[in-house]
Amino acid sequence: MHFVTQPDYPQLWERLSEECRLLHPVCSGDDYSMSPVDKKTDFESLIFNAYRAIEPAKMFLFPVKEVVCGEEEGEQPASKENQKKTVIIGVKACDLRSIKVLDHVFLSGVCEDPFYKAFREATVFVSSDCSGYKDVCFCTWVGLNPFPEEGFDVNISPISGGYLFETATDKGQELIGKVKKFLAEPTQAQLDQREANRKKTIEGLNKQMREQGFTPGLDHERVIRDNFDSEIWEREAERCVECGACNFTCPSCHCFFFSDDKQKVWTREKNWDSCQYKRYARVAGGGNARQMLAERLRHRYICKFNFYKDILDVYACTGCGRCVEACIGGIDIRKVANELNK
Amino acid sequence: MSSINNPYYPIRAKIEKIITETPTIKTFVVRPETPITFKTGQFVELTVPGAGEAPFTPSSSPSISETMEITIMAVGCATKRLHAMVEGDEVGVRGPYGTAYAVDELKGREVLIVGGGVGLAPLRSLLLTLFAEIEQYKKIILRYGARTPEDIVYKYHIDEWQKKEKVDYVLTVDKGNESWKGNVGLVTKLLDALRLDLKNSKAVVCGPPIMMKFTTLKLLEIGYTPADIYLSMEKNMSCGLGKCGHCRLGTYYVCEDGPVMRYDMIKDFRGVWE
Ligand SMILES: Cc1cc2nc3c(=O)[nH]c(=O)nc-3n(C[C@H](O)[C@H](O)[C@H](O)COP(=O)(O)OP(=O)(O)OC[C@H]3O[C@@H](n4cnc5c(N)ncnc54)[C@H](O)[C@@H]3O)c2cc1C
Ligand code: SF4
Ligand code: SF4
Ligand code: FES
Repeated sequence: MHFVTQPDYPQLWERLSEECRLLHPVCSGDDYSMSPVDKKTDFESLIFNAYRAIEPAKMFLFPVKEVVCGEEEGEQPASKENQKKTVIIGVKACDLRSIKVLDHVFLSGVCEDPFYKAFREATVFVSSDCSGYKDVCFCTWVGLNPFPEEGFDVNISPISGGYLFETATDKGQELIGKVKKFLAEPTQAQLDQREANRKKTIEGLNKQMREQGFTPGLDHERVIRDNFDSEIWEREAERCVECGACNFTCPSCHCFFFSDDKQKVWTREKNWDSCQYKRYARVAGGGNARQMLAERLRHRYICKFNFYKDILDVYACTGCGRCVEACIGGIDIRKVANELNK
Repeated sequence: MSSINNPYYPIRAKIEKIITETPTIKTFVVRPETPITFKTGQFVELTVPGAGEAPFTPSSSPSISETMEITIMAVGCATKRLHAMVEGDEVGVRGPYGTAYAVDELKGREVLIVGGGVGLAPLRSLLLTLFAEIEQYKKIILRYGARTPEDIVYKYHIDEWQKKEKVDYVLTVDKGNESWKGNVGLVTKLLDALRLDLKNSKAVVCGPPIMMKFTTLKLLEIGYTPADIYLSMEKNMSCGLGKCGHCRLGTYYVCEDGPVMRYDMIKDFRGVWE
């Protein structure tokens, strides 16, 4: 654990920006947006993000579209530019959980996805504790804390006068090793403050959720599993317009499809896909495992709360609330779970 | 970068021969640039240049790896484009993927094989595998149903297979014509008359979803246990590698845990047959 003073914080990143590609959250209204910071950046203006950014972290490891086969001899996994070491700063506990899911999908099983792997290996996650939360946040409802406990290389905790930097991996050690001159030994009081802050955020978030009607302790796994035949699925699906925004904004949604170029034959693109689209499960002869919209909506919840619980022992829903914000039909995953539990 | 480290990159393959099976089904004999070894029941992703990819199960014997036969029904974009291709044209092949038929489990038993339509394609690969060591099996009972006499695939095998020792091959069509002298009716009807040593038998089924559903129900009625029934499941697939999410069935990916699945693995999932 190291202590970095407030004035040193921007300098530390300025120094690292000479060697790595840095993504740091910048203010965008009430939100934060992940932006590259480099020589041109006014480092003094870098602010600590109180909660997660608009963009799910998956965007930087699993692009919206990516050429995976070229006309010649296949395609290099990730271009040179992408393979450049990228430090993603300010990732929250929720997005780290989603990376656990993506790692499982793309790095285990019958084979690895070399494209994801190249991005993953070149990425350093510098996560941070939440010092606030959005009105849609519900990580504590799905088994997470609003501060990173696993999956980070370096984690930052804001305390008075500066930040605590905790390194968890060799990658993180190596990164921090480059800026030793900014690091000081933390005092016990500073460590205690971190714990107190964390507790405060949990309590605040839980209070907000209780006021919103989301009582701690809901067994999401059971609620989804036991309500396969509920008519609530159909009622909710009435407001779904099949835009796929819930999937695209979700940090753990990872479905994709290949599309082959009609002209540049042998060129293949890997594109994000949405399980809410009708064609997603269509097979020859017109068969469809999930013909009805309500079935597709339910499938998404089963995926988040049952499938990944079964195979990876985590919920793939991280409680980030992005889909709640994104849905133009106003479908709220928290309320759906609550309704099903009635 | 070659296909060795890019699992999405297909091996180029020349179409060596095209056999017209029925008005809508053709068998393509392809020769991949590097031989592809597969186990019977596993599938490949076939690239039709400019049209996309689709999953198919080779219909040839796995003992041959230089060439591979794939029997394909023209149903949509990629398959229709493929049917318009000619000998000498190039396609792409990735694979093999998924589970194979548990041939060892079938040894020493009466093997009941039930096919419907183009579903006889993967089963032909299995049959050729079993025929190669026929002494290992007590009996091979093949029941096949096609829509009309015209729609029967591998007509050139019928005589040969029916004459084979230990092999009992009966066909039926849903709808006959003037020259058809054989059975008329659904393939499930042929199963009623079977006299089987159930304790010592396994069943393998491949065909359209509706046929698989009713065949499975019939087999259970006859007395097969769910663990005795092997099905070739068909789901929408894109990657074939357990990554893209499309083929999920309950806790499984059909591309990885299937396509050959024992019925007891999946019987409790909802929407198995859709
Ligand atoms: C494991 C497996 C083995 C198969 N083996 C054979 C075989 O030996 N012979 C045979 O004729 N057919 C087989 N099929 C069915 C074959 O894959 C479809 O007929 C083919 O995908 C149709 O493609 P299309 O572009 O012509 O159809 P369209 O209806 O134009 O396109 C359907 C769209 O859905 C996508 N899709 C993905 N998976 C499927 C699917 N399973 N069925 C239909 N569309 C799908 C396609 O990529 C395409 O974008 C098999 C399917 C599976 C899953
Ligand atoms: S399902 Fe919604 S709340 Fe859960 S991780 Fe995905 S976007 Fe976030
Ligand atoms: S969901 Fe939790 S971890 Fe994520 S931003 Fe909100 S409070 Fe922070
Ligand atoms: S086809 Fe992609 S996961 Fe099975």
